[in-house]
Amino acid sequence: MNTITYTGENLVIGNIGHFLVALAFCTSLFSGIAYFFSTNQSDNRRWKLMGRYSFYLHALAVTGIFITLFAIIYGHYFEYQYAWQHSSRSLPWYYMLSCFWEGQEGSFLLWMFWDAVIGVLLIISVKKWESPVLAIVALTQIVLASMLLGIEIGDVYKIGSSPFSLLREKMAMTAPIFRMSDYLTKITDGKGLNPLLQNYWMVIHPPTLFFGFATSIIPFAFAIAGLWTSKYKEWLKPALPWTLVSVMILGTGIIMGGFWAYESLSFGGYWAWDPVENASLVPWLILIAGVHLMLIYKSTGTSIILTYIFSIAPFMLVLYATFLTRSGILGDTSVHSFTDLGLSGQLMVFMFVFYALPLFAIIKEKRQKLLLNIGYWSIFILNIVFGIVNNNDITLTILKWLDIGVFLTITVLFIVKLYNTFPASRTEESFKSRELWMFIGSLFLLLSAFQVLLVTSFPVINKLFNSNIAPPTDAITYYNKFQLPIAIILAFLTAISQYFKYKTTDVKKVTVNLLKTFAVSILLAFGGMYLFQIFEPYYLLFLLAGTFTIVSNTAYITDILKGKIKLAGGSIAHIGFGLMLVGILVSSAKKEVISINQTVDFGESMDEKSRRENILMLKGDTIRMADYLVSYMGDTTIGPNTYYKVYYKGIGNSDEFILEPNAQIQNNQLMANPDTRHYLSHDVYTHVTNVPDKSKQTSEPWGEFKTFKVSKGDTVVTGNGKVIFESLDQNAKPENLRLNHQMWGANLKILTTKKTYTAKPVFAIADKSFYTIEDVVDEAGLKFQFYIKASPDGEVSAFIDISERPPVREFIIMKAIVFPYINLLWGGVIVMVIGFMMAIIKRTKDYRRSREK
Amino acid sequence: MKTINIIVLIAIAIAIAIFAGAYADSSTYSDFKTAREQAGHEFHIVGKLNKQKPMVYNPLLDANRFEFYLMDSLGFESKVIYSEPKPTDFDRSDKVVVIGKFEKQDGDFIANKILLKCPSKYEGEPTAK
Repeated sequence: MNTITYTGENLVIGNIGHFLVALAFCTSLFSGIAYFFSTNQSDNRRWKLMGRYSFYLHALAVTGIFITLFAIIYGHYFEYQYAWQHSSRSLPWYYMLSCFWEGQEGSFLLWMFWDAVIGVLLIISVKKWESPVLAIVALTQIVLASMLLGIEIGDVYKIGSSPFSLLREKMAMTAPIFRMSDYLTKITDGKGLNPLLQNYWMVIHPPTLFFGFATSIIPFAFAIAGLWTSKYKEWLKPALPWTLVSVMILGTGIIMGGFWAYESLSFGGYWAWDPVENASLVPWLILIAGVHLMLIYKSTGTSIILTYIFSIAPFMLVLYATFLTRSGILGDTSVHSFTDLGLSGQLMVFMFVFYALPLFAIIKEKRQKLLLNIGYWSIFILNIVFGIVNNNDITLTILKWLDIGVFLTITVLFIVKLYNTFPASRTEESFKSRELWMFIGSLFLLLSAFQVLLVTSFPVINKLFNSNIAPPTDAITYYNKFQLPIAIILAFLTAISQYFKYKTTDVKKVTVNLLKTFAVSILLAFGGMYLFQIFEPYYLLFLLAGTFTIVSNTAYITDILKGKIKLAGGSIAHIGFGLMLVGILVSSAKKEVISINQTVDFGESMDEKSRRENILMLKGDTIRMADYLVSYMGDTTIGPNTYYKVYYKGIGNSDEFILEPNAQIQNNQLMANPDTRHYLSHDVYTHVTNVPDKSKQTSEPWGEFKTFKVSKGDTVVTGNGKVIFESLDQNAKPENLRLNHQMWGANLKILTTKKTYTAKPVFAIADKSFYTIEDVVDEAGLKFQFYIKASPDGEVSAFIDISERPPVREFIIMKAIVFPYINLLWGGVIVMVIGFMMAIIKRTKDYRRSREK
Repeated sequence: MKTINIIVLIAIAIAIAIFAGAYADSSTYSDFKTAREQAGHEFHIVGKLNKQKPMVYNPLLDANRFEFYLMDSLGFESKVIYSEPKPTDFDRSDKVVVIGKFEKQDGDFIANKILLKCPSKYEGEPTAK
């Protein structure tokens, strides 16, 4: 093939990008190696400095990649595949940021960027833990940078996928356009950004969530560092505030996703138990449990083994979540084969490496270490080799079982090693101690995470065991079955635990205090019962549990801490948790779909099943929904969005407002965004579920004209309604018409089942000829011509020609939901985040003070 | 026995209950023939849309009724009735998962949920309706 010299491409910027990716990879590799030797040679200063400065260089390179990719998107260099695939000229700059998280490469880049930020912050703050902790962070960076390398080895195996690939490289030579040297002049715009991402929440939610994911490396790195350097316990103090940061940011990211879903997705809620949501929730639950275990350990010296496991697990779960969401295993539940060696193969390799890391760190004895190295790396090489030449089902099956075996062996060995390193304490834990209650709470968080993880992993289980299980058909009922009781138990534990002191407590005092707060809670819950109209015993228990959490923790701040607000971070976070629970309970249990369709009579089998939750609103219709009279007033199109105006008027009060749920129609696909009216006590939420295709309706062909001879008062019956010839307009000529033509108009009244319309077709006589002016009533599907003729015997008669087609209907199908007291949920989240922040400040101060000693 | 051991045992018991619960509540990916034979039980059925046969959605008559024909992976076909508006990206989807059951052996498949597999651009984005 001839080489084509392409014109108009800006290759410099892409080469800068490629260079920076390579630089980021090399510097992270070098930094990791240097920190590794620094750690193994008891904090060797020279290695440490080398590691540090490579990491700084790495952080600069990563920032450079970020800027370069942004420049490509901002400059509309559509010769680059990433810009073409994910952006377009019309995007405002802030949505160009969203392009980063639309594509895989961009989201890995984002993760790597946050990791670099975290790494630099850790270098500045952790002092003597720098070498081992940064060695682990650098290892993650090596892994992430390799995801962006885009090196192809032969035709089958590639390492990473570069965001700086050219469009013509990615599209191969299949497209004839790339045979033209000036192909770029033909590509005037990119494919654009998914409209769902063109939302301000999508500008801030993904970076927050990725920051949360990235922070999970912190407890992981500290725990590994502790095992590695045999300073088994000292790492907890510096790790604790950082882990709290992780909890806070990941939690904020998750709930932002929920708020985004609530504000701009049309499934009617903030949480759908979707696998992608679940995959981010599980590490968060484990992180929270981890924080509590760290606190137990810090104060009593027990639970060290679980502290290790719960510090290591979140990062593993984040890796697993990345695998779940990025490998396509979730989206494709049945016909996907195991041969995909795109990025998913690479991701599995990384999980394999990171999973063994804790075991490598804990094993000290030389011979054991050698054995582990030999065994592990030979299996690793076996996997890589057979992973590439995998044309044999039997070898793949053997390999699969081998890997499952390796996974189990590593797990068991690590736990056994932990038990050997930290012999179990002989003291009897007492129910009078705070740590036991916190421990129980952590176990319940684990159980909650376990249930979510189990069902989310069904596709993986199916692939591993060739099974055929599908998630429960009713996800909400299934999750509630366990998550509701667990939440109730957690709420009670949250309410009581702080009243106990570590080790042992004066039970009498605790009982008195708790009885007091419990009595107040019962009173408040009783009030809540009437306020929220909740009477089911199970929900009442839930309400009581949430109230108890709020009251107990508030009383703890005022009575026990005597208002020392600096110490109250934990209690405030707990109050937020209680508020969230109450908010979740009320907004879901009392959520009411008000757009219930009452007009349609359902057949025998459909009656009970039908949810009838969507209602047809013709333009101009007014329908009563709960306490509102609702009318659809028509649509307006602004840019790519069509806004549907829905007018709400309260019955018996002066409340009135207009909601404008909108939609973008692209390739026949409706992307609907809801609109919500917020009140302090409830939200009225509306979205369109379907709209008629207007262009299709108006392009329907008209039927043939039928002629009717009419006189005044006559009625013609058509398929679309009755047409009444009401009167003749003798002078139908518009006033501003200069022509000297004489015109007669027929005043027609059209009666359809829904509405009455008027029409006036016109008959005109010019100097020597005559013509007609049609009138069309689209909404009735009728077209009229009118003329007057004199028969040979001199009798003058009027005629109407009528043509029919299906009426054009302007309507929407919409759903309206009232969410009561959902603000308790959002408010609870804010309170919780404030609590976390206060706890972070306090724990950081503690750590600084302990270091100064 | 130490208190803590009892607590851990209880936690393990709950974990087993969760495991059993997940298994009991789980559905299976199946085909129309099996689903018809076990009328009344809910199944996940993966299939392709038969675009030759009519897709009926007449919102003026009933906004909450959508009918179409689906061919499952084994080649069995059935009419599917969904009591929600027609999902708006339905025409574009190449693969459809319907979740529901046959109420009678000779009846139509009543879907209470439809998952669409579209050529979605945002990988992380659920396509559940």
